[in-house]
Amino acid sequence: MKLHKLLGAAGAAALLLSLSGCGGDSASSAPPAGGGSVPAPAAVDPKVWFDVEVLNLTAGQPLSPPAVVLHGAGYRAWQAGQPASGALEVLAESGDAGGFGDLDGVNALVASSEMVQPGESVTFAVSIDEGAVAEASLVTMLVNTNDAFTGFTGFDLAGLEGSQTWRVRAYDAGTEANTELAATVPGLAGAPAAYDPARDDVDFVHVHAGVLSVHDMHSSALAAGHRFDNPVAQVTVTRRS
Amino acid sequence: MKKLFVLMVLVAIPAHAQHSVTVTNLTAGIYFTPLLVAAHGGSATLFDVGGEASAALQAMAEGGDISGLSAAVTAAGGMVVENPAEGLLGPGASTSFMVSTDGATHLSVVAMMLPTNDGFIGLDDWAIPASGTHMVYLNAYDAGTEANDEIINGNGAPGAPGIPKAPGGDGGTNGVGVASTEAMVVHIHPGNVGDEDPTGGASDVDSRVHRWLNPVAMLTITVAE
Repeated sequence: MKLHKLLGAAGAAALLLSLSGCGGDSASSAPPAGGGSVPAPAAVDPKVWFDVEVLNLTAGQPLSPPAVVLHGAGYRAWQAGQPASGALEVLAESGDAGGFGDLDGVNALVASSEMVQPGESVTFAVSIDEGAVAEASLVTMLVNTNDAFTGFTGFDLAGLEGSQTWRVRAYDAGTEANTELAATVPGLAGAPAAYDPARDDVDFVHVHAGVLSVHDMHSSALAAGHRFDNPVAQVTVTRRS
Repeated sequence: MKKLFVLMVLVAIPAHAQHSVTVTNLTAGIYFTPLLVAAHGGSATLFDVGGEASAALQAMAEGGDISGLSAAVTAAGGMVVENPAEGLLGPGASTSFMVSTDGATHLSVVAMMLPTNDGFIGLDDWAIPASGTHMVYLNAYDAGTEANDEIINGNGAPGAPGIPKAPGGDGGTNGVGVASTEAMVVHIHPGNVGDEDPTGGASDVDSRVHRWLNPVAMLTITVAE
């Protein structure tokens, strides 16, 4: 794992602050005695901060902790009609976005610490270097499904002035058959059990057709309240002034 | 600053501008109860996605009663058009009417969907463009005030379980109920479940007739210049 990518910009900034705090934070304190001079802190690039709010519009599909992937121009977290990346497969089947931090072309991964329950919202912050060419994608899993996810990809974050709001739809990663069995649905059985490296579905990303629930498929572990229609989330990104 | 902005908007839009509006029901088997169309300032809303429904919204979503919401819009200085279709707007049907904005900058629309427990079509706080003809697609929302049991029992009173009616005459009876719990805030409606049993099963709505996918309605507006 690449720690700096997983921590992301916010985590790295917090780490830097805590480290600099160790060296003595009072101007009146005496310089450290003896050898071991304290190195001057490296110049920190000016940051531009953004608040990301994710509102869950579904009746009964908690969203896994939303993750913002910061990347250069051209990278896409998914493309409809194309096979999912391994990182997207894990996210869509288990809710774990960590794999995106290891990908070529990805500069940082910043994940919310919280899931987003139906009808609720979470807000978290991301930052980019001032003047950087930076695009953003956001991914989160609908956890009471086999491999449904939502988000956006390839947004010109650096060019954002003010704020931008999206109503986003559910996609199917196409990597896991939609059996709706409890063992394959992380919201019912726990995330680690839900990821299966086998690709036993169409193997391309497409707009999700929705879950059936036990009312339409006797073997389904899902209830009527797990059904959903688009849009499934509302995402607002706001540049801090 | 805010006051200044409002004044500028008032100057920019002619008083008593009359916009031509058409609302079309895009579903195959869902009826809309009398529409409430409201033109208002940007700070007013008929409903708040992610927020708890007001009592007036609940009355509309569970029983089609738009009087409370209409009064609230009028009290806030907005303009309303009530029931332009003069009754139910059936599957595939359209209704056309004029909306007077009188300086109002935003448009909202709601109507209950039948047969549902507390589903409604919603356009929330849409900024009216300065000119041109525009199409807006409306989604189905769930008021979050009543469990979607899908039992047709004639109950349209706020807080009373059940669906008032299947106006198409294609509803069932003796359903034992689909869902018994409900998310407590306004959200995107998950859709009807239904079943194929007209005299039993879980639901009194028909899975072959009463399902839908968003969008459920289209609004076309030609803005007066």
